[in-house]
Amino acid sequence: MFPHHIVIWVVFVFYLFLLLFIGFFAQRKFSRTYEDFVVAGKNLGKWVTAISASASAESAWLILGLSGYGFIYGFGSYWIALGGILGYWFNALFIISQLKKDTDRFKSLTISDYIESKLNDKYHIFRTLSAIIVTFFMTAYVVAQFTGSGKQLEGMGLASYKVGVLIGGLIIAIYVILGGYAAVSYTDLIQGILMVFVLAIFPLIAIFVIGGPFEFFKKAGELGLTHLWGPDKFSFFVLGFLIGEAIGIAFGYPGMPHVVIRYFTVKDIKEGKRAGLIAILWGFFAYFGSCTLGIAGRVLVEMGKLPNPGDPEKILPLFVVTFLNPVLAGIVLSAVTAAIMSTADSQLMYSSTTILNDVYLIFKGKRPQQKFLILGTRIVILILSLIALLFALIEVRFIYRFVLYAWSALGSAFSPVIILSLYDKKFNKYGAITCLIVGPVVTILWKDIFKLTKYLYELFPAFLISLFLGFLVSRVSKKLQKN
Amino acid sequence: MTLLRDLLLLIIFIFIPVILMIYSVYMYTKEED
Repeated sequence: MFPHHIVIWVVFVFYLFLLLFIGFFAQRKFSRTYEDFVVAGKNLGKWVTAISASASAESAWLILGLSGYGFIYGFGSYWIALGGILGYWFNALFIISQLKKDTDRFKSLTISDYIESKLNDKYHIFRTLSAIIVTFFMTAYVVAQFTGSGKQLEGMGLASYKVGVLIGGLIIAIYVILGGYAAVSYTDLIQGILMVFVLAIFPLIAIFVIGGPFEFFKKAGELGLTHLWGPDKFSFFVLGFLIGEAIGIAFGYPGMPHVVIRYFTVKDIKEGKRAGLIAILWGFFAYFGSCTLGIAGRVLVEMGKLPNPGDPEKILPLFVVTFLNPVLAGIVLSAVTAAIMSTADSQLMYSSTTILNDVYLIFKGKRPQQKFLILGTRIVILILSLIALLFALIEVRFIYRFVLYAWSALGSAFSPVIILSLYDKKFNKYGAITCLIVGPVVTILWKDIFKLTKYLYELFPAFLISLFLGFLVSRVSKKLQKN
Repeated sequence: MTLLRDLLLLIIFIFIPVILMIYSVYMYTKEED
């Protein structure tokens, strides 16, 4: 076992050094001005935009959580894949170009900048609320990612949970502090390629191990895994739950702040449109690959070729250490870590920019020197990283539900704001503030107070109520102002 | 037969919508700004 582990570590350490190298490279090229450091000069091409946005949107959940869904629900998990693709489709057709046009007009660096300029919020209420929500929920999200890093290394028997958390957290902190937004985007490009490579190729290897596609379908069919309603008898409840979860996930995409910021920073509208196409193709391979991997893993367990992983989220690490050579195992470890890092780095970057750009700069009034702005952002990144590391070290969380919780709160707060700001001419600052409050409140009520998530994923009602009230309050407030 | 039915349902409810979505995004990239 020992030499096997050394090879995995060598591949993994090579990958970590690559990330640090990109951090150093970005520091030399993109830390001369504040705009360079926080939005890479708004000059990113279609590939970086598409793949970094996709890798940031998808956390370790895509590889570990979703393959776990495939393991449990079989073909039923493809509904979730459909939901993910729906999110990419909506962004490609209705958000990217439109948002790029508007944010260039207002010279916005963050969502708050854009909303404040577009809706003329002179008292900075949206900005303040948005900073609180982003900081709170994104830090929670980053904690979940660091937790994933610890679980992954522990699951493969390579390091203890705490060492895993420290490796993930510290590497991210170093390259984000060094290279800022450009480092985040370019490392995410590499990480996104690695993720889609593993999720497109490894299910094929798993199917080959089973005995080919025909054998795979036959065996999966015998186990009832080919039903779209899950492996048990037909149930409207399970089918409804899966479809609800899929639509809920799609609702999150238009407003996820650390993803939407990529649409601000694409070079131009033409590149933005192409980025939309690249992103949906990336999503197709990643989502369907992950589900299929989980289904194939379940077939292998039932065939007795793999031991039962206990926790379905561990099916990929188990498959890798059982069937693959250590170089491929090292690549998988890097891919899962990539999924974790690409989300956590973008969130760290966005929440740090929010704290400095949206809160400190606005309320201070006078704009400090460029050097101070970059240094200030770096200090905020460091502080947030340390806080997230501390939380991850003291508590282990169940990745999937926790990430979905942060996803629903952010999605139900910001998706309605982005959609209404682009498509509702009567939308105003009162409506936007309503969305920010209502989304997270409904999420918390639905999930934690009424405990209804087992019937319907909380983002579904939270998004719709937030959207409706944002629409309604804009009109009512306009009428009241006229009177 | 059950397997055939399941595969047919998979194509109708999952793969055809996905292909249509990807195709519509492809057509959108061809549109003039």
